[in-house]
Amino acid sequence: MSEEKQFCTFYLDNLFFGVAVETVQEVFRYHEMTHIPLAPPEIRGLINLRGQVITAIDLRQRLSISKLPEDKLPMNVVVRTGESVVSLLVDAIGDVLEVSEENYERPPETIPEEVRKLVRGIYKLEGKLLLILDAEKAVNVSTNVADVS
Amino acid sequence: MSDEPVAPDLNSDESSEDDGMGEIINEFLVESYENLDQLDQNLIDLEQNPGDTNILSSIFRTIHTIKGTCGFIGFTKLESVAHVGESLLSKLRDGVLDLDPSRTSVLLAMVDAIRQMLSCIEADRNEGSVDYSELVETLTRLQSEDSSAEPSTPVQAEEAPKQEEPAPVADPEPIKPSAEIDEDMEPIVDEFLVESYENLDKLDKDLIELEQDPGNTGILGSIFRTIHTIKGTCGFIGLHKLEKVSHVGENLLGKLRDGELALNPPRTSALLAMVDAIRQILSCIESDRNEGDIDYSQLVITLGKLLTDEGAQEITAQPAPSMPVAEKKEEPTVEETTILAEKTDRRQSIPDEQEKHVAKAEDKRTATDRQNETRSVSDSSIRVDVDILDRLMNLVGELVLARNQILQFVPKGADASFIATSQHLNLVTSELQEGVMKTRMQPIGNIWSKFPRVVRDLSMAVGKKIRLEMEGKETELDKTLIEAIKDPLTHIVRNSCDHGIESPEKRAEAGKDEEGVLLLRAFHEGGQVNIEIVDDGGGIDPDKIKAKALEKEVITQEQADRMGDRELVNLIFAAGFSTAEKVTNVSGRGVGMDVVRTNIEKIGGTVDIKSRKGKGTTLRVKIPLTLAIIPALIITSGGGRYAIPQVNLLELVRLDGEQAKKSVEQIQGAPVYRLRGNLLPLIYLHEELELEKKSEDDAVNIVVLHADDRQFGLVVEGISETEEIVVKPLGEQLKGLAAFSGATIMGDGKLALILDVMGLAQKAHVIAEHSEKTLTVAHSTQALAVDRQTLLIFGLEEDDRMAIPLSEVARLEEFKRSDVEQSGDQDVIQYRGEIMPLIYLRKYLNVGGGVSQESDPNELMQAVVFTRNERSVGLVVRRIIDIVDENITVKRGANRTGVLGTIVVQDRVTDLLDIENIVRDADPSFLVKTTGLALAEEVN
Repeated sequence: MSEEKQFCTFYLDNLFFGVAVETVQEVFRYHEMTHIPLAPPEIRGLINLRGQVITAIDLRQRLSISKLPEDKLPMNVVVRTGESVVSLLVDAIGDVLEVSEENYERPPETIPEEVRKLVRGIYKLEGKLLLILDAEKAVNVSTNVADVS
Repeated sequence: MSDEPVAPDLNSDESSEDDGMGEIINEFLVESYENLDQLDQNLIDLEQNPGDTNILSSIFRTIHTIKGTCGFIGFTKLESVAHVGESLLSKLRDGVLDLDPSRTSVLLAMVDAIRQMLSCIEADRNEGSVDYSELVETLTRLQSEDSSAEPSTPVQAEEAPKQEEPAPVADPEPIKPSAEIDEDMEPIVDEFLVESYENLDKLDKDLIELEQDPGNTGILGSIFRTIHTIKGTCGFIGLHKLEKVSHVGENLLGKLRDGELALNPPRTSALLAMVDAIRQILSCIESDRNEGDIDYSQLVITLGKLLTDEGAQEITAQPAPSMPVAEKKEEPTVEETTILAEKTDRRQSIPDEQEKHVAKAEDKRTATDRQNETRSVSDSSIRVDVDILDRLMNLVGELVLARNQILQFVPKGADASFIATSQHLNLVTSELQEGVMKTRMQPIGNIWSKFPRVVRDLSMAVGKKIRLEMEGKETELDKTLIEAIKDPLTHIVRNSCDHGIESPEKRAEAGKDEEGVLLLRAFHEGGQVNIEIVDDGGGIDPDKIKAKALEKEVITQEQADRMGDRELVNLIFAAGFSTAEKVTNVSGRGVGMDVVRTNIEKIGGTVDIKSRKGKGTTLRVKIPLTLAIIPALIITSGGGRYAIPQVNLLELVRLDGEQAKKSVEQIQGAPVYRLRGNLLPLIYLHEELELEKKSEDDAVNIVVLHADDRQFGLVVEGISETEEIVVKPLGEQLKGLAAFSGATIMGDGKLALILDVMGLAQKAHVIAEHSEKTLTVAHSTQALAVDRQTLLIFGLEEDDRMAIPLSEVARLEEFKRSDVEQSGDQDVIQYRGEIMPLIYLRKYLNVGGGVSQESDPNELMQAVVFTRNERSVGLVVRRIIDIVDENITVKRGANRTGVLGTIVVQDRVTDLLDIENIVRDADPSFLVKTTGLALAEEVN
């Protein structure tokens, strides 16, 4: 059966990602963030989203990709996983794409290990691969440092 | 009410609900749940006071109400259970039977059964398939005098003196026309009034509708139920007139409902007249606490006559001897009532009669007037959906934020009216916030009401005697907090019963009362709600805890040695810890107390435990009064803004550069500040957060904070204002950051993190679980054991070692040789605004070679500064080695001047410096006004 699914897409470095459109609450341009001391580097800071405080996760850092050059500001993809609302920092935002199930495949070996860990699968599109991000895993950054007594 | 005719099928075993009944059922459920909780409490109270007829009546009424209602909705199973229970209760109330533990237990079991059925009804809209025939049988059996002998009863069935009291309440005999209401019944009466007024209004409406639609059994059923409830209740409060009136009305309604009679205008009028009469009586009750003087016998007769079609024609009344529904014989039947016969009447003239009766009593008119003027009981409270309140709270939170933002726009020189308006806005917002907060406050008694039952069941299960006392039931908490602490409190209570209080034998052996006491106490203090759970049980044995903790490897031997009793006892909160010998299904699995603490800390509270072996244990839970909006101090550090909850804030200390240098001392490498004699450990916020210090200012701002009864100082770069902030929780990803407890949106829209004072302190080790640093504090307050001292080890040469007690040391300094100047024949140096003499210890003690080696002017000299009477002297040494803690046992006495003796420190021979003598020799005037001389002399 050829199911059509919709994904909200974005770019990170030379990679093209998608997340299920149902999980995306909204997308917007760069928003000022408040730095959180002592937080791991993947957590860029906090954003004031119309009165709601949400955590911003630097996806590049999360996927162990090099940092953005200083003058380029990331964009925000706000995803909702379970109870939590998190903003993923990406390079640029793409369109909402509809893809058909038949093009779905497992992630190939050519994708770096760190990235593959967070990718559920891929869709083969014309000329490029759409990597489907596992949003839940992506936002699962823990700050639980073992308590030193 | 639904318009479709609903026929409650009384004959089915598993009745299912018709959609029209949905609303009635929901209401019934809400009411009944409330009633059941009250019932539990009452039964426990009753057990303590078996003869207390007030409690019995209250219980009776509750069961009666439940029974009455479920009959008409069609829940026959529920009805039969309640019915049997009711029979038992009435026998108890009448003194025919005694209340003993087995009866109490079966009554409690009945309550459970009812609860079970109610939850089935709630979930599936039917009574469920559990078979309660055994329960019914037991309830029936216990109604006979020679019920089975029960096991040893903790509560003796002795007659409570109250039982013999002639309580007018329970007396069914000569019905006085206007009965005085027993004072103890006041709260019940008030509640009854509120309920009944609500019911009567509904009744009026129903009757009118019924007249339009006479065959509507649904409405009839509803009316019946209302009257039945009123009748049931007033019987036990002692409102016999009211009871009479409603009873007769009920009869009529019953026949109408069953279709034996048809509804016609006369009957409707009579019923409406009855409603009016009831209303009238109620208002008398409300204002004068008695039923009033109006005679309703006419009405009663009329209603009676209308019971039969023939009777409607006739003159003589033919009251129905039995009620169609109620089967209890205790209820006063119509024959018992003494009807004051008036002239015979025809039913058409009833309304007129009624009015004449009303016109007769002057004071009753004024009573009615009074009712219209003053707000009656039922107007003063209103039911509100919790969701609406939650939404209100959120909106108020947003309003507070918006207000903060607006206040930002009020610069100093702004328009006067603008300032005035914004101040007004400020005021109103604060008051609104307070007001909304109050709506959500509930007395803690609401969750405590379950405990008597819990304690009773538990104590029976484990064979102990435990009495539960509760103080401060009316202490109020926000509803969400109450929900959150329900489980932790229950666990603590169960723990106390299970492990805290000993068995009666053990207690007797220890010379204690066989009955243990568990006290729950709640009160407001310092912006927090304190809840204490105190038991007079066996207490917690710190040694046992230590052993268990070591066994389970929760702590190391080293840590164990350093812990005081209080810390050991607090170990029970550690994960995986349980000293219970047996794991019962009640507690002992080792996952309880740490979960309790986590849950309490989740809502911003703390829990602490104090115990005395053999005497008892006290658990103190403290929770902040509000969750969402708190006052906080805004500070800056490392380039960022942070909020500190005011509840942790004690005071602010500012030291400018000079003072800072002087007053911030170092002890064992940790900075401290002496605040009015107490040593305050200091934490530098920018260091803790690993940020760079942004401020150029040398000044030191110390925010004195306290957490868990211990104080410390937080050094920040800048202090802003105090503001009310809305606490926004941090996401899951950040939960592990101990330093922060949330975030807030400031007036300018930017975010600030809220510091978790406790977390910060623990992280920085100023408040350690295993007090590593207490030595520091103890040292300066001289709480150490006498023979243990902190020593500064230094050397005058390459390889020697000397020691001086650290308490003698004011400071360790470094000078350049070139800074040394001459004053007379003494080397001095300018130090902190004074001229400080230097003593070259090497020279003084004749150690080592000549002085000539040190000629490099830039060479740094180490000096130990000794201060006395605000004068300092610097002792020049070669090198500072270490600071240690040691037991001082002088191995060798003094062998030369300047040395008190020789000790062994860190396995090295070390000379203990005789600083007093050295200084005195160098400058006799230095030590004037000291008493320390004596010490040096003695040692020598």
